[in-house]
Amino acid sequence: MTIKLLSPELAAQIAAGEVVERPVSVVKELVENSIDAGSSRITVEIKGGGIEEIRVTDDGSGIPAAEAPLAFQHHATSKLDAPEALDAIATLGFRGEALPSIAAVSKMTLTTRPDAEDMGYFTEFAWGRPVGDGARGSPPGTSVVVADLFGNLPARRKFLKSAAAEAGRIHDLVARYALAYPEIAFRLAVGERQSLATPGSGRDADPLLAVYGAAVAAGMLAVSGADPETGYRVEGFASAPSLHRANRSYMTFFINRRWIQNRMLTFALEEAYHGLLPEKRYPIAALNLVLPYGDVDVNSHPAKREVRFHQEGKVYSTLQRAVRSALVSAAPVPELGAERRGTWAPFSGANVGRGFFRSQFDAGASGDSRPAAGGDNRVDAGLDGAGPPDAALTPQQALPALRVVGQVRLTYIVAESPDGMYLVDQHAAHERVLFDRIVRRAAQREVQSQPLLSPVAVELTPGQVATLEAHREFLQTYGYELEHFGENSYLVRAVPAILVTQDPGKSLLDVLDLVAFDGLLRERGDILAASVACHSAIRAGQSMTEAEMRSLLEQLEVTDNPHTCPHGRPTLIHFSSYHMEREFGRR
Amino acid sequence: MKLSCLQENLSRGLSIVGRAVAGRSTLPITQNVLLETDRSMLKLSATNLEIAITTWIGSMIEEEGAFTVPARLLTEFVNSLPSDRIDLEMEEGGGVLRFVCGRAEARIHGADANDFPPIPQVEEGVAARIGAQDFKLAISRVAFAAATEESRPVLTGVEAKLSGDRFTLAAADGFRLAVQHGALAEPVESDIGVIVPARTLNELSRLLGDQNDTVDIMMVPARSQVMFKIGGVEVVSQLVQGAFPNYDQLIPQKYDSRSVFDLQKLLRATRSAAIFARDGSNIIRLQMTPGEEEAPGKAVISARSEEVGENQGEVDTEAIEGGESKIAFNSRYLQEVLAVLERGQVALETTTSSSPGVFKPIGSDDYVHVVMPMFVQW
Repeated sequence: MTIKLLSPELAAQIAAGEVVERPVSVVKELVENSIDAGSSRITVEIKGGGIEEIRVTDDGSGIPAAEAPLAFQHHATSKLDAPEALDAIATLGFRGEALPSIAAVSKMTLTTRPDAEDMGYFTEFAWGRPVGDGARGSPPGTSVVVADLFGNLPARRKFLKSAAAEAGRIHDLVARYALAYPEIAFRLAVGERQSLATPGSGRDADPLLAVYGAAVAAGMLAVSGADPETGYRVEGFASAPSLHRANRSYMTFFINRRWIQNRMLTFALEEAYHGLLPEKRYPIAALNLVLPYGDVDVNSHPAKREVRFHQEGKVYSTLQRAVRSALVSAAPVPELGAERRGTWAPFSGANVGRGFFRSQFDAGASGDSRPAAGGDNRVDAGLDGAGPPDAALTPQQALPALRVVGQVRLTYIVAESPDGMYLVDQHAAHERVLFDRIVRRAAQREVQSQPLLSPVAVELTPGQVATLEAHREFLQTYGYELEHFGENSYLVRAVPAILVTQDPGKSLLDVLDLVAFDGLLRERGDILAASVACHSAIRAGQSMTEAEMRSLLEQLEVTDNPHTCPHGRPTLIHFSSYHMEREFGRR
Repeated sequence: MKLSCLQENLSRGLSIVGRAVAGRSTLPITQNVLLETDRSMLKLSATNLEIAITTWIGSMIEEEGAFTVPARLLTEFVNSLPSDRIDLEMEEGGGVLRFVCGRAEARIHGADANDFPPIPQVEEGVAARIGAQDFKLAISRVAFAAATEESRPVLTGVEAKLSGDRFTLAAADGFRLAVQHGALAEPVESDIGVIVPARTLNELSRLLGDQNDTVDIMMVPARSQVMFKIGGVEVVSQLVQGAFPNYDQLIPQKYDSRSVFDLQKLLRATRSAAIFARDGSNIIRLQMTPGEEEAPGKAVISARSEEVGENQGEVDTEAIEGGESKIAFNSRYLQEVLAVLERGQVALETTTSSSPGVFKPIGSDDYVHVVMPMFVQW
């Protein structure tokens, strides 16, 4: 093959790939442009999950007719004029990449009219080539229509999810911008249906209500705090400790009202809740960090999702302190009835306390057919903190006979065997036990469904609706009976029998969140089984009697893969006799 | 504070208030019991912030005062003493309460009574009176059906409605509903509807024991707290705020099939089936077949588990109205309702195998229990 320059068309398509990954990226770029244009009203309409058509209309400043063609050139922007300006970016966009990138992979029409001009102007592109332009009557502002996205890149289109899933992502994005810009009236229509509308009143509480519903909005605390030294400020909302979710997708961060994803901030927020939330539960929050523009570098990722901070530690501590103080000041003064018990899942191991103790290794049990797992390096590796375990690499290996010694931190069971000591994560172990049982039942198609006396209505987000619709059949296999009840509401008519001790609505939300979050499992059915197992398994922090621990280990021994939980985390760590002796200098 | 009392009185008093002592708590003083002189009595109080129990025991007061000491320690210590007189005295400088009983002596470190959470006073307000055993029976038949999951607080409570000379207790957890009616000892002046935590009623039921007395119920006008007075014991509880679901519409008004069982026979067959149900599905199936002509008919009660096997028991019914019917219940729900009906006969009314089953004791219209059946493949 000879080396040659890419054709401009191909180069544009490759560049577009960095910015435009899926329909939601288009919406993001267009909405950001509308915000930068000072709009007070932004309407997003999508068809077919945004693949068929995306239409973003605003009442912003518009583009003068003379400049409009230039907007479709690469690196053409009105938002940046000198290199120094890159150090202090106040607008959401600045790279001059968005419009040409989108135009390269779609049929795109831009209609715009600045308020001062009498006549609007339109320009049309198909797969990056201009196909027409001219004067056109239009209201003030800009309207962009993007149709047949990736029509020229069938390979890219194959990687898109279902229309409902893509629509869910778009809803998610618009919702986040609606939270950050309460003064802008956002409206999102998915097909014929209005999926989100905020009044643009400027009051923070309004978009909160529109996005999360009344129940969540009522449980949110206002967060406001500043670091006196740096002047960094944090503002927004965070959920009271009684309100939490099963995955991290409800934490939203903005830097100077730009939506970003940052693990450090996520971590800071979780730290602020330390000790206030049950294990594996996450807060709901929408927080805006106000920093000097020069203290944050947003130019490190084409889609600008990631940012770099000048003083990362300060950002971290400002956020954490502000949230913590909001939580502490909202903590109720102890009074009669103020104490709320946590909603731990009760231990539903129906087998606890029965069966004889096979694990007693001095009772001749070691003479049975199960070999001792003496040389299991993978489990040993956990001791040295080596890389994450991979379920696929674990050989199907039986456990040695284990004798319960006790419980540590109400989370780990200490057990010994002839080959050393084992620490067992009680939640992970129980999850594995339940998972095996659920999968076995589902395979036998033995549905265990407990209908409700009166159905419970649950309000879902479009993302959750997409998850639900995509997995409806599996949900049924596990015992859910759900009925669409207008908009994003569903009626829960029956729940899996294993979940009868839980609140029907809340457990459904958890299961959906876990299903959406969990991409680790082999089959879709397993994902659900794992969610249900995780949901009903004993939690960390629950004390167990010796009989319960013994029974749990017995049940773990007979599972298919006792070494990992369904999510791939280890259920136990082995401290070999040899290792312990070496550590103590006996060898 | 300086006083004397009898060991058995103190022991009994501590066992009564002990039920309200907090287990693990973020407010450590709630693990203490409050000892307080009250006229010529020693008043004992404990609270876990949801429920507070107070009782009085006779004593010789030499010096007034109040102090709190760890409840569990004190209870165990007092129970270990001989049946004799106990002298209590605050030590000079405070902070320590000295106990002398015969030749045994103890010094117990405690905390200032002012730090103890105030026990709410319910002095005035709406009052009602119920026979102790009527109330106890109603609690036993209803409270178990309340939800244990805290996310729907109203369902963790029992709705108590008092009207004229009747009372109604109702509880539901989303899958079943229990409603018991009864007569008040004295009519109430105005109607009352409140939601009492099921836990409070269970404690109350224990305190009622075999008492044949009456229970006085008082409510603060704001309806945030309720007080029950039984003999010399006062129980103050928070009420659950919110609206209890309107359950009347959940009770089926008609049926296609009605089977009458001897309770003991049905319970025995159910317990056998439950042993098999618990390892697998927790499902117990009931199939009712009317008898030929005058014969009373029979019911087959069965359960199966993939792992352990299956079980099937046949029970003669006292009567079957309507045609054949079959219905499957969660074994816990079925066992619990049969267990609280104790004896006599029970009727099971069904329409289809996917609509609610209704249990009613024969010979009384006071109790209705509705259970949602499980979906099964027959």
